[in-house]
Amino acid sequence: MIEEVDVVVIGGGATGAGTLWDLALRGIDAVLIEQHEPGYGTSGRNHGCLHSGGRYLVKDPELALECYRENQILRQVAGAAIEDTGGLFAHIKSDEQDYVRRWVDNAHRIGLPVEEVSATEARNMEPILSSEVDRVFTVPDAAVDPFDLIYMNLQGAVQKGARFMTETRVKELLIRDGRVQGVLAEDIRTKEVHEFRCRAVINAAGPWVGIIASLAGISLELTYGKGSLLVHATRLAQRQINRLRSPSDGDVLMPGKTVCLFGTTDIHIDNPDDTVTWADEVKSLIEMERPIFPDLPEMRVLRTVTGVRPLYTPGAAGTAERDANRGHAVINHGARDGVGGFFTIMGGKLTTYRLMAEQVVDEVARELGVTVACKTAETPLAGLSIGNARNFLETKAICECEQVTEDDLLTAAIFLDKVRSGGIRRMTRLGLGPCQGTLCIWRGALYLYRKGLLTDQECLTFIEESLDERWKGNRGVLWGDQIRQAELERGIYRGIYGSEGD
Amino acid sequence: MRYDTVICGAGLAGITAALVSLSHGKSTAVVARGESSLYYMSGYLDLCGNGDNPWNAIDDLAHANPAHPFALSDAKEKSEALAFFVEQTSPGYPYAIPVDSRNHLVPTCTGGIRHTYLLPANAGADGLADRGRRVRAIGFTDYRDYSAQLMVDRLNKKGYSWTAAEVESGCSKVSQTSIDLASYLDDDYPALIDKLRPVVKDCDCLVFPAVLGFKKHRVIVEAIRDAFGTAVFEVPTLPPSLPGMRLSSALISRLRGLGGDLFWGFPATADNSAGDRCTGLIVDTPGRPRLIEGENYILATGGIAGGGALVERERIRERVFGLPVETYGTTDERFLFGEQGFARSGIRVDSDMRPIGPDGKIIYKNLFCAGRALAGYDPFTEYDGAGVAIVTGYQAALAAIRRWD
Repeated sequence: MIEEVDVVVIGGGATGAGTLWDLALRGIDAVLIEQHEPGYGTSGRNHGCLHSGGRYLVKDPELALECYRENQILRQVAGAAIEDTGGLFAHIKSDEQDYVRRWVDNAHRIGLPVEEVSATEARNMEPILSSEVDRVFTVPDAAVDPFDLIYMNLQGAVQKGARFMTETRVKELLIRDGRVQGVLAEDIRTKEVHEFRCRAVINAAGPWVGIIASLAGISLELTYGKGSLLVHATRLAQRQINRLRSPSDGDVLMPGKTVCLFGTTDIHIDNPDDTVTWADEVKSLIEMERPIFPDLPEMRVLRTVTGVRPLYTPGAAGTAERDANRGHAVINHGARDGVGGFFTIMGGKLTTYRLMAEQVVDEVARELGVTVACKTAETPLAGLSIGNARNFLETKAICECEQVTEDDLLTAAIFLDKVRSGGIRRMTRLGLGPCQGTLCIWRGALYLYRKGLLTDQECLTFIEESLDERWKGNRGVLWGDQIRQAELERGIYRGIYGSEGD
Repeated sequence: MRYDTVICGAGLAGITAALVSLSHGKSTAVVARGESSLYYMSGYLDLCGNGDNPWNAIDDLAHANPAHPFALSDAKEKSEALAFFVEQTSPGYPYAIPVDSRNHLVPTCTGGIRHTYLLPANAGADGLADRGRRVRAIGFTDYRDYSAQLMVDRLNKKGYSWTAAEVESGCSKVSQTSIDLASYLDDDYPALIDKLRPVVKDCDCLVFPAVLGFKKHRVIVEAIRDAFGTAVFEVPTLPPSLPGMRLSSALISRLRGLGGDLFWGFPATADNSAGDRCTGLIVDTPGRPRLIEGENYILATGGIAGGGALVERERIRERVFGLPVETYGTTDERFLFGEQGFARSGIRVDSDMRPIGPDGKIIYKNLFCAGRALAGYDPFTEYDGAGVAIVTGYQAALAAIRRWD
């Protein structure tokens, strides 16, 4: 099947979804292609921090200011995905003292509102903090749900006529006379091929940008840093808590919906699909918790989350990952590599996704002769009608841990182009709570089957994929309640359902 | 209080051991923290393997793995244990030994087919043996944990020709669980029969999710049989498991009927101050902990899921006696249903079911161990959970009695 479209966006992370929304607002016809489901990559595998910029004050004040500005904009236009938790920067006695002075000086210089509170007051605010904390500052950090954010952008774009396709992988970029003419993409299950004829392609594939660029014969200088997080079962902090020191491993604790996340590590990897968290990595994360959150290591860990940071390091081979450029880059491959109409947007942060989208779409619009200016900083995104059930006695809960209702599943299934376990999980939070899907994966799949949204075979595939996906997050944290849960799950699915890939 | 046999744990292994002890005239107490894993399991009692012949599967396992609990008994002892167990179930919730000693073929609620050994006798065994049988699967429109149509869709692709129908249960709760439905049917089953009349036709067997009552299960099954002249079969679904609850309740009634004492709902720790002998269990009753003493003790507190083994970050701890736990390292990194080393962790015992340390020495002369607490097997890949529980519970009690005599 051949479709005509102005722009193809590759990648359904925050940047890709934000790009689709930006294009739609400028009246540019676009389709987004995602190889798995929206938020599958780095966007869905991080703390969910809406940075105030505090973290980058000393090392990169310019980036800090960029974060602060975007933080303020997103609170206005994407409020439904944001929880205004506020943030703390907490310094512990044994960490470098002079860093505090430089941090405060730079905050004043760029106008970031920071305010010192006493250590006692801070420990009353967040009892999880160590008594070794001596100086604490408040900052306007916030929590952002990356899945809500991505789906809100997609929803807005779709309402303006854009389309998106999940579980579809780009196989080929069609290039003729030094210009990109189209894209061949394939359904990852059915192998059905879609051909798009387009005027421009935006490569927003996150850790996979290098693979997409190579389809045009272009090489990008990338390194990959793997970052792992521990997900604790309850909200043990109400604010984003940052360790006030030069950015390093394991210095952020972040509340997000029903859980809190601690991390991260930063390990060099060669393959962007290498997202396994090994037991020794978990062990080192737990040791990182101790100095600033001494009680945290004893709290239940639900699962691990592992993301890959793609870092663009032109001419800087061998740079340590955390020191590599954390800003973003827009590349016009027409100018750089002689492939017209092909653009890559890479690097950056969740907090700056909107700005990244704006900058790449500015370039594309110029190329297409579109003069409409970016409107994403002023146009509010509507919230999702998921997770709005207020009265649990009157609605049918599918997932009791995360309060996912039948209506939520139906809304997600109708919105998504394909009803698959990953998309449903990320859009509704099905299976993300303390039982890790033991009960609700079955219930949810059965509900979708009964509604005619899954066939009998798809229903079983949904269950098996969901269980294996949960297992990937659980296998590094098999102790205490978590391993009991895994044993129960094996008992239920093997003993009662007789699941064995049948 | 002093007993001949004190058993810690009231699951399949612990209760079997208690009933053996009582049937030999020994005074017996069971100390249990609460409900056992029967509440989560299907009520299908597997002996060994997901194939036709469980006895061959046992030989294969014991041969391949001499540390397997099945290697501690011969086929005769196993048969005796199973016969004893089935006899104990007969007053409350009877199970039956298959006539040819082969596994039954049973459906799962996902429309899978699996093998199992012991089935409740009134479940109308062999739901899948005869492919030509006219089976109608009944579901409830307001019970979201089960779909008769899904099961039928899947089974019919495997050569069956079942049909499905749904009726409203009539239970008024918004989100029913199996227990809600069962207790509703305990009270109101005649209404169910009226609802079934329009949808039951042209069939020899009716298949239901396993929610056909708790206390009045037998009456409900008989009423359906009488009304429609069909066999009735229950398929296990999401926990809580009604078949497991009925079995647990029947076994506990039997225990009490034979004069056994049950200390229910309190955690216990060992009072083992006397070197190589256990001297008592301290039961944490409110206000004043109670000491329960016995000649012999049987540990049947279960494994990781049951709560007998506590997995910490660096080690596994046995909860009551602090026994050494043998651990296995390999874990399938990719698939939940792969080979998981932790599943084989547990207590190593000698041929008399007495826990031994890494040096092979007996730890307490009067302590025996049975069931999921034992090392060396994985019920969820070997399909031998109930078999090991019943056989080792039986063996442990007999070993304790032999010592006492």
